[in-house]
Amino acid sequence: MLRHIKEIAIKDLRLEFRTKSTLNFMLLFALITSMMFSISVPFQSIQGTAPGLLWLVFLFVGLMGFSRAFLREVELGTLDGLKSAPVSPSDILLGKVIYNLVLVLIMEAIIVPVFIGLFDLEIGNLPLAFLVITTGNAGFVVVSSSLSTLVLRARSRELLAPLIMFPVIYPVISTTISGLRMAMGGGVLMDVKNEFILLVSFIIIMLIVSLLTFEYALED
Amino acid sequence: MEIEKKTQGIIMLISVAGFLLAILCGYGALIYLGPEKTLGDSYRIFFFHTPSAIVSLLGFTGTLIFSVRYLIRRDVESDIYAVSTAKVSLVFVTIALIMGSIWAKFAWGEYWNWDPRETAVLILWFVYAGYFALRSAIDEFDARARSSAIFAVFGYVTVPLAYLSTRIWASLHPVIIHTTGMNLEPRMVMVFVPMIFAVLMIYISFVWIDGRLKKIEYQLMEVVE
Repeated sequence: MLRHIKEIAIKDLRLEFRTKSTLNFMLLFALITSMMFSISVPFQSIQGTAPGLLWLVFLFVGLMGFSRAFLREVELGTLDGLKSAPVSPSDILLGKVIYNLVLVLIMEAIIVPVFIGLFDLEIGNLPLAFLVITTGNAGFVVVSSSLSTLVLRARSRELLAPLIMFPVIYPVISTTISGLRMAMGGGVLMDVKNEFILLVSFIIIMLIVSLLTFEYALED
Repeated sequence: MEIEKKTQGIIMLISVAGFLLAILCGYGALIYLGPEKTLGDSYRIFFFHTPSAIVSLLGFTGTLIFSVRYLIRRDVESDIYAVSTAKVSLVFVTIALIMGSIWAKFAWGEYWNWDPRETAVLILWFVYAGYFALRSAIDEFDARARSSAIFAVFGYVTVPLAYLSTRIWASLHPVIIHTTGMNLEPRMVMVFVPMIFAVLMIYISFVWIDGRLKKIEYQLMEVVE
């Protein structure tokens, strides 16, 4: 089972790194949103609004990028091949989740430094800020990977995806932002204990729901 | 057909009894009970706002149950009732939101306060609005029913969150129902509890009527095709 998950994640990563289309688009999109925020928020209020803006960049980028994992299979016509492969649906889902997590880690490594430079931010506890964003993104990835399969057959799915994803991941959005604010203000791990408990339990619940329903989501 | 007739009779009875009980409780809330010490007369909206909120949360639980039943059984009826419960619950939760913000203006000074429960219920509203958006975007029957059923399972997390929000975060909303009893005067309980049942009965009859209408529409479609 672990082997199958790894195979699927590696297949997607290999495919992605051959063209880098999703990664490049996500990166460009993140840069352009950061620039927009940079010109639209007055300099004096940056320090207070920065955690929210940084997290918004990741939300927008994730929304565009994460659903690509399944959309690409549909566009290339390989979804049926994936379904008929001798792997269980939960392996497919977990493989895609890991693939998206790798994408997010790469994005974080590039976007966070650029963002800090662009806004000239002072971050109290950088490792903790990274940890909070990564955990928040993990929750986002788990939900969006499985919900993106629901819109595969829908009309105007790009418009529909944020409509159905944002309310479901709202607990992640609000918790991550408060954790991020704490980390940027120089908080330590104990300060964001409650946020972590909420995030991790949300991730576990959503992972269970995803694994239980994914078999149905992949049907024809 | 015989069973259908029988249920129809029961539902008729439930709806009439529900409306009568609601009128009686409405009288209790608006006239029988005196003004409250701190909130004055504005507290009377509580007897309409809270029951519709409670019933809508129960109703979304019904949506979850019918959605899971659809995923297991794949029958048209489950899909129809999942939609009907979601639709009527969405109406009830909208009523609760509007009444709540009117009351908030009088009790807390502003229509919208981003109180944890207000936020959680608004998010819940968006989840089920998204449910209908998702349904309207898929044409094929099976794919639509399946996708929306799965989404209903995901979206249900917001329901316990809305219920527990006042207990998890500091909230302006008081906690009324405890494990040990209710945080209300006995005279208010006498109006409040029957009102919940009245709204629930109205809810059930709406769901049944809407579901039956959809079933007839579905049968008609099958005949036409």
